[in-house]
Amino acid sequence: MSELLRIERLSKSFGRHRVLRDFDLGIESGRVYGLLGRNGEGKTTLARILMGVIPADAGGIYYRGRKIAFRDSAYKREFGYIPEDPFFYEEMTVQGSMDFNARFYPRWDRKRAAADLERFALDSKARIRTFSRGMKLKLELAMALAASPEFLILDDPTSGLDVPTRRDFLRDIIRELAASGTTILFATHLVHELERIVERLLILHGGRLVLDEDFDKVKAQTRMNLEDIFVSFVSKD
Amino acid sequence: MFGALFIKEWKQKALTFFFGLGILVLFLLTHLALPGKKDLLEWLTYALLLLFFPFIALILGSSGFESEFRNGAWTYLFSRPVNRAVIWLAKYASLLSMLAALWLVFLAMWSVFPRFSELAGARVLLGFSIESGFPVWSLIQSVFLLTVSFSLAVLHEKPFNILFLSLITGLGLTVAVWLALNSRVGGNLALTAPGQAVATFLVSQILIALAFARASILTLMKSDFSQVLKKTLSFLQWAVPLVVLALAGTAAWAVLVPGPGERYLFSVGSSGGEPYYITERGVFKYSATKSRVQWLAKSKQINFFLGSVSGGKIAYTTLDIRSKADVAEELWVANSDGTGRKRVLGRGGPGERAARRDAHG
Repeated sequence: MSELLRIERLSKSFGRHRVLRDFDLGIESGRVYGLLGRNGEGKTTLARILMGVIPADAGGIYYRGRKIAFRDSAYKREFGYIPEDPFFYEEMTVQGSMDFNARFYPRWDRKRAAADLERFALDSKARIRTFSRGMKLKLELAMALAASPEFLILDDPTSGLDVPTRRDFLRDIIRELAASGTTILFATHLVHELERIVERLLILHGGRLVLDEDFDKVKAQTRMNLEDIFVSFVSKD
Repeated sequence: MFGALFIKEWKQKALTFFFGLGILVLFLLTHLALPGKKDLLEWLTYALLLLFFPFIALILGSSGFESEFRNGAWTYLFSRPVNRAVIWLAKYASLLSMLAALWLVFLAMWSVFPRFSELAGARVLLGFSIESGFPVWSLIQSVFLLTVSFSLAVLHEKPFNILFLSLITGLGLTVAVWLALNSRVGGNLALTAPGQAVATFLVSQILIALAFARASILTLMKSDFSQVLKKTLSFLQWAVPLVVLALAGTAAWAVLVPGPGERYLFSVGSSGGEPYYITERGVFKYSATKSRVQWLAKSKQINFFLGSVSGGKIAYTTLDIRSKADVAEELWVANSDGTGRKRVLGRGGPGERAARRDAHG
């Protein structure tokens, strides 16, 4: 498998609080990465840096071998991002928001967008401000999928979803995406969600990766479930 | 992408635009309903030019990023594949087009109703004795305030605070330049060369607006919007030197770029078959044998109605301006080739000393 994304010595601080310190990571295409970390460990920060929402203090990000600068935007056409808290222009309708997004992504799949709206039972004429958090997450998901991303970043989105959708989301959608060759980085602190889908396990602690290994291999070596593996790594100090 | 952002902004600000349009329609209806109330209509026209357009510009500009601050939509917008400079430009173009549309409505009223244009065609900018056939100053001020307020809007989530800050900053800088042009610091340009003063003032507005716009774009492109203090400091780091540069550029313009061509030309006579002239820029001689104009004495504060040439000497008067209320005349004499120039009468000269002696008995 070819390397899709490489992160080198990435650092980010908020005031005196250093969230990421010399963070290194290589991501191969077509795999599902599970990024585990406690609250405030920097999962969202990493996702936002990758999406160009906030700048890193130091370090480099390489996508398909080419260095990405903070001002670059073209690479995002191949990136999908579902944040923990869905952000929208809430006065827009669902269809208005879809049309607005379609202008940014050359590979926008209108058929898929319409199908996913139906699948998630979202009324295309409804205004987004009338939606619950779970509905907004579904809309966010439908948008990310319609953009046909090469690389999808999921920043702990499942916590606001109802159980059937969460199952549907995890079992069907992520597997379907992974099967189609989409690379997925799933950041979460909910280990049970991750256990069903993860191929490569990443554990973030103290601003660095303390584990970067195939999940099956870790499981075989430790003979523990994911929750115990996670706890054993983040409670070492 | 530019188009999508441009249209989105129009949709989001439609209410403000129609509010502005409503005010203009009300104004027109008042004109039609009260044709005899000329004083009232004149005041309303000035209110429209000096208050409505600048304030609607401030309202539009200061709410430029309101929807991005609301519900954290910055994250949504920044994670899309669109350059941040394009975001800034598309939004600004959209707001500017709204202001332009309101101005077009005003222009239409101005051209359709002759009575209306009579009222609007008056001096608008205080301090300058310029009769403008069209209320261009209001237009310039509104575009300037739109630019300043929109540039500042990247910093804070509450449009009212931005509006207030823009009013202080925008008008503060405008008044500072205006005061400079009316004082010794600016060479009393507004009094001695109004045409050049107006041009210099326009240059200052353009350069200051560009400074704010540049600082705002750089903040948007390079700053961390999740850290408010850091973002504000970044803005100041770019804005302060750029505004200083804009003011320096304005001063350089006033000193280095000549004003509009001579509007007044006064012939002071001839000597040795060569005519002598006084203009706003000083004393000139035309040499027919060499077929060229010789600049004998430079002065921006010359009184071009008073001068004479005789016996190989030229005499002319200048104004020594300390303030609007304290202006003294000076008499200067020079050889006909411009050499040996000296002041023979003026402040502290024999004339003033004699006047003081008389006053003290």
